[in-house]
Amino acid sequence: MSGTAAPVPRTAAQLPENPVESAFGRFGDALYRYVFVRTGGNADLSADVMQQVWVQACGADLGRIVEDDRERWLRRVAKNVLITHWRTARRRPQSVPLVDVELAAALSNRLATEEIPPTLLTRKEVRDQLLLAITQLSTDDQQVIVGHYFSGHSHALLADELGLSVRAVEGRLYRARASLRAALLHLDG
Amino acid sequence: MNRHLQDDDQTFDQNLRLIGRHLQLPPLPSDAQRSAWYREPAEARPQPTKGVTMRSRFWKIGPVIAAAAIISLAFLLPAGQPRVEAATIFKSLRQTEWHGLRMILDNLVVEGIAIDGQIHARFGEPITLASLADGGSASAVEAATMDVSIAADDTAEPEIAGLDIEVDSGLTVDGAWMFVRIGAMPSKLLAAHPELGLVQMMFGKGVLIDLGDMVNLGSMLQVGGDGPGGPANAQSSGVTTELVAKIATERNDRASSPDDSSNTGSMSVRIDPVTINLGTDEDGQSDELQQVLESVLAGNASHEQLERLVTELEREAGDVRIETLEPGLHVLYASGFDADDEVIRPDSQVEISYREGTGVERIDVTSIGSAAGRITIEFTDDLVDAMAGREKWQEAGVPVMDVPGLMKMGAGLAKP
Repeated sequence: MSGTAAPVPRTAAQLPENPVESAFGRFGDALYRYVFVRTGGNADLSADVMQQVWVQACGADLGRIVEDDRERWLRRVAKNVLITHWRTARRRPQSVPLVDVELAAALSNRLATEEIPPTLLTRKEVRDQLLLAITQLSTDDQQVIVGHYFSGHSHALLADELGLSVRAVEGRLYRARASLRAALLHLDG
Repeated sequence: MNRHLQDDDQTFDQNLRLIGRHLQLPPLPSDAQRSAWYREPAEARPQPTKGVTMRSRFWKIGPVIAAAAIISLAFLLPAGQPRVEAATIFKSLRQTEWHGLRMILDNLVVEGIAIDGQIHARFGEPITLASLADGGSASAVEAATMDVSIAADDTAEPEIAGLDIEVDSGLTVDGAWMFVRIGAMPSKLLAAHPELGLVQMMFGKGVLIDLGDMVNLGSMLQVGGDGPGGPANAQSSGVTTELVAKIATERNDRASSPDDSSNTGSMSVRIDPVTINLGTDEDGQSDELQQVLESVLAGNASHEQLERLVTELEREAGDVRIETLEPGLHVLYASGFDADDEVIRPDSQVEISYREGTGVERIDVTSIGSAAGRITIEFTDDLVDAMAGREKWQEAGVPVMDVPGLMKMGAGLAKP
C-alpha cells in the first residue's frame, strides 16, 4: 500500500472559485486520510463519509466561514458523520483504532525524551495512536511531516515544492512537530 | 546544527525518522475516488424568511403526512365514485386500532444537531390515527423503550453546541432504568460551570441508572396531549411526540433549594429540537386548514373540506403517486416539496404504507435534514421488551447507580 506521498499542494490560482470545491481541493486529501484511519481502512465507508461531508458542505454556506477555519469545519462534520455511523452500526470492527489517552500521552512524552526502539512500532495500539495523531494534523502540517519523514524529502526539496525558503521549511517542521506532540495529548477518535 | 532544534525536539525529530521508515500511512485517494465524492451540489436554495422556525418547517410535512393517508383513499376508490366516500371509508377505518407505536430517527441532522434513535411505546388503551391527532386525550403508556443519541456540533445553536449524549431507557409499570453516557456537555454550559466537568467525567463512559419504581411512566413518555415536563401548549391540538431526556445532576455540596438550578449546578437537558409535530402547529398555519385537518382525521369531513386538503397536498408536494406493492398493500409517495436550507430537501419524500382492512401501517419521511436522514413511524402491536436493554448494559459491565437503594440509605442515615 503506497501511503508515503504527501498531499499535493495546489496554488490559489489552481483552486476553483466555489468555496466547497476549493476547500475540498485544498483539504480533501488530508481529510480523506483522517477518515480512512478512523474507519479502520475501509475505503468504501471512507468514500461514503467523504460524500456525506461534501453534501453537508454544499448545504451549508461555507463561504461565510473564514478560509482558515474551513478545514476545521470539514473535520468536525466528518467526525460527526463517523460518530453517527458508529452509533447506527452499534459495533466497531476491531480494525478501527480507538483512542488510548494514557498510551498516547506516554508516547508524546517518550518520543521527546528518549530514543524509541523499533520494536515499539510493532504494537498495533502504538501505531494506531500515531496514525490518529498524524492524520489529525492540519493539511499544512501534514505536508511537511509526511514529506520530510515519510517521503524522505530534504529541507531543500520541500522548500522547492512548497515555494518557500529552507529556513521557512525548518520553521514549519518545528511547528508541525509541536502540533504532533500536542495531537497525541488531545486525540480525536 | 539546525538552530531550531532543542534537545526534546531533536529527540522527537530522530524518533520521527524512525517512525517514517516503519509506519505505513493511509493511501491518498485516487482521482476516481476524489471524483466520487463530488455529487452535484444542490441548486441554491432561497434563504428562509425571517421568523420561520424549525417547527414550521416540520408542519409543511406534518399535515401532509396525515392528509396523504386520507387522500390515498380517494385515489384508491374505484373510478367515478365521489370523493366524499373517502371520509366514509376512513370513518370505518379509524376503528382500526394499534396497541403501539415505533418511531425511528435515522441520521437526522438539522442545524448542526445529529439525532439517531428509536422509541417504542405500547399503550394500555389502543390508539388510532384520530386519537393521536386529538390533543385532548392522552393514551396511557404501558411500556416503552427509548434509545436516542444526540450530538450537536459547533454549528448548532450556542446553548447546545458541543453536546454529545446517549440515552437508552426502558420503562414499564413495574420499574424503569436509564443508561446515560455524556460524551461532552455543551461547551457554553461547561465554560459557565466548569464543575460540571466532574459530571461529564462520571458519565463519560456511561452509567446505568436503576430508577426502580420511582418514575411515573406518564411523566417520561406521552403520546397525544401535552408533553411531559414542559409548559402545557393549550393551543396545539396536533400530535406532538417529544423525546425528553432529563439528566438532572446535582453537586454534592448543594445547599439551596433543589429548584434553584443556578446555585446547585444542576443541569437539565431537554431535547427540544427533536420535537416532531405530526399534526398541526400554531406557527404560520391558518385556523381553517387546521379545522379541515381535524375534521378529516376525525372522519367527518365534508366534500369541500376533502377537496381543500387535496389542494393543499398538491400544492405542497409536486408529485403524488400510489403504487401497489402486493395485493392489498398500497404505498403513497409524495415528493417535490418546496426545499429549504435545513430540513426539506429537493428529494425529500413522504411514503405512506396503507393496507386494506388495516389502515395506515407505516409512514416514512426520507431524505430530510442536512444528512438526508429518515424518520419512520410504525403502528404496531408488537410487545415492548423494556428490560432487554438493561441486561445488555449490565453484561457490558457499566457502573450501576441504584437510585432507590441510595435513597433508602439516605433516608436511613437521616433518621435520628
